[in-house]
Amino acid sequence: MSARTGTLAALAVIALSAAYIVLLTSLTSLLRAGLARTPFGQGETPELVLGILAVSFTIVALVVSTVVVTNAFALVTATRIREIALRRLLGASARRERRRIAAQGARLGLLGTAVGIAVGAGIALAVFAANAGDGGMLDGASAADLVDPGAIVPLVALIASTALAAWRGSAAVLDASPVQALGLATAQETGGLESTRLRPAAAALLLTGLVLLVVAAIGGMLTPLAVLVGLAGGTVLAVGILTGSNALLPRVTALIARALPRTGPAAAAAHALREHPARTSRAALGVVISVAIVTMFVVATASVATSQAIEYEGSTDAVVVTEIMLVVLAVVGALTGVIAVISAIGLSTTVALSTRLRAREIATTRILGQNRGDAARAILIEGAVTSAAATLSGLAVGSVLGWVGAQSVLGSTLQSQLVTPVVPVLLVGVIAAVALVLTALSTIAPMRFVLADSPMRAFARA
Amino acid sequence: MTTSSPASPFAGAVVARTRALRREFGTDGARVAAVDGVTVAFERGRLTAIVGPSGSGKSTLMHLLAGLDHPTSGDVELDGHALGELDERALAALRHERMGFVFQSFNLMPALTALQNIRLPEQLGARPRPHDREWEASLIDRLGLAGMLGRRPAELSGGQQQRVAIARALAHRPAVVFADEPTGNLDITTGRDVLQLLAELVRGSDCGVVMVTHDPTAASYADRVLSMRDGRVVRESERSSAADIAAAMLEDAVAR
Ligand SMILES: Nc1ncnc2c1ncn2[C@@H]1O[C@H](COP(=O)(O)OP(=O)(O)OP(=O)(O)O)[C@@H](O)[C@H]1O
Ligand SMILES: [Mg+2]
Repeated sequence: MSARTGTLAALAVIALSAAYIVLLTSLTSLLRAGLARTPFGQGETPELVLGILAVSFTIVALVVSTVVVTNAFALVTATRIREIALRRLLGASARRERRRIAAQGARLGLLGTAVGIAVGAGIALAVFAANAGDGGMLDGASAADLVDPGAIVPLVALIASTALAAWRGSAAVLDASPVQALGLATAQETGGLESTRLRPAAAALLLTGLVLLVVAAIGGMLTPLAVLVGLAGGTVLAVGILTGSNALLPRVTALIARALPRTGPAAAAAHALREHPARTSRAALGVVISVAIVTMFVVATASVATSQAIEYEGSTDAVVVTEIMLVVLAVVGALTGVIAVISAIGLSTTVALSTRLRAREIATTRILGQNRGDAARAILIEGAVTSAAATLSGLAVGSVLGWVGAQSVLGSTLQSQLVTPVVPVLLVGVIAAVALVLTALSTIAPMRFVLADSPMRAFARA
Repeated sequence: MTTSSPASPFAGAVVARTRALRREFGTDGARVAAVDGVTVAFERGRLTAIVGPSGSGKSTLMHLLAGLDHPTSGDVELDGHALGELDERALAALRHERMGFVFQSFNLMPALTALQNIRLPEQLGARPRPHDREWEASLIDRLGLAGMLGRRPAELSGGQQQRVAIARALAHRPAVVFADEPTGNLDITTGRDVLQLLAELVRGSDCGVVMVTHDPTAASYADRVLSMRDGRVVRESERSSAADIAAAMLEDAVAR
């Protein structure tokens, strides 16, 4: 739980994203090359679909990793904020400090990307070697097809976003005068700088997205072309959620936290969550996105399958529906897996950060008579509420998008004109398990950090 | 618990005592006794100051008294409980119910208002246990906090923050309040005001205050002054002037 933790987390996230991007682009390019040489893939459509999928998942990975890396750098800066302020007090110029930190970010970005490229290329090569010459789809492709020059763009974007994240994480301290910097160091630790107002732009995006989705759902009764409206609506809504996350997620968290008792560890956890709404929402955002993507695909498939089963007098039995869903879950799960891991790292970094910054408060509360177990429970509850808020939000957003997608494509082909919305129990189970694992992962280290010391020693060290 | 009265019905009643208390730090090679055989008692309704040079063991003694640290040997008894017989959980509960703390750095929760800070300990238990609101109101009144209850610590001066901290320490009517350098971050006048208030609030009540300080002026507000050196209590005096305390401290320091 130190600057090193933050640096390592950032490095891991950058490497994972780079590996993901390389793997995704090279496998897509391989698949495209393989397909092109089969009669099956002569048309433009498969290539287009593959391309769209690859680009969207690359963008999602980029967005999530930028959010997580920004948070990780906030951790690094937060643990060094006094040191930075002190250096400035002793005469270091703001510009030099800023350059030092941004350079550190860029170095980290380069290193992580290099590691990621090596790992991603290695896996892609292994996949190629394992599948080449077995008469399968990849038979027509050569190893040269693994290299996709298009990968350069997202990789450069990744490095740039790392440097930017490092820069932004330290902006507050570096913008201030040296004396103010010391004061700001405290203000930032206490979260006085976070605003949770929903900005008009975000509100407009959300509203537009929702309206488009409703139009798509109704339009779907008439024509499958409504899916284009749905696509636009989903994209606008997603951008709205991204820009408004600082305002939206804290509200979900607060709603869940309201169900908690008002005393003991639960009160302490609720207090901690209220204190840093923006940080909490950044932590949860990656999880929301991953869960929403998986949910969207699964709900869409399940709804379509069920509606068709009903339409055709139940001739398609439940077993087949479940089988299709399992396949979709597996494919989308694999595509989303790395993004989910990145999100998990993000969540645990943030819980670590929040614990670290509140070390003195936690120690004070323990001196005032909170026992060790309750102190640990407070952190556990904080992590649980955050991951519950994130998974529930993802589940809700994904379900809506999934159903609207299914409805807009298929509504007009059904007698009832309405696709029956289905959220499979299996999905909810998997998501609940994910939330549980996330909570555990994100709270173990901070709990140990808090519990390792006696209250007095923790106080002295904070 | 009884309400305070100037007649001081508790004078002389012991709230905490130590017997042959010893706390060593370090490994076998280089062991130092930070507290070296201290036997003292602290009384209710009085402010007892512990003075002494840096490193003389004042803070260590206070931590042992509050059950925040465990002695190498010897015993602590607080409000009728032998601390050595209590586990972590019971010690935390005892701190919660029977002790109050005032820190040098105030240590209020930055995100909470002054009133929320005063009431923070109510929330630490399994069930909410509201303090006696009448007592709370009188504390707020006597500490001059009425106009600033809705403000956050960042919007309060150091002296105001320390007064909030004192209200927090006293709101649940503890048996004893521990204060480590409570005026260390305040200017002389503000520190004097804060101590005056603290002394007035406890004098004659059933609550005892144990205050650690470097500052002879601060110690002059105490009813009793214990001087420590090298882990031992080397001098004990009743209420004295700042000048006398300063002279004695100098003498003790030279005598080493
Ligand atoms: N956790 C610890 N580990 C090792 N040694 C310690 C520890 N805490 C205190 N000591 C030592 O015990 C001695 C007494 O320390 P203590 O903090 O009680 O002094 P003090 O009288 O409060 O000093 P000050 O006025 O500077 O606060 C010192 O020599 C100190 O180095
Ligand atoms: Mg001390």
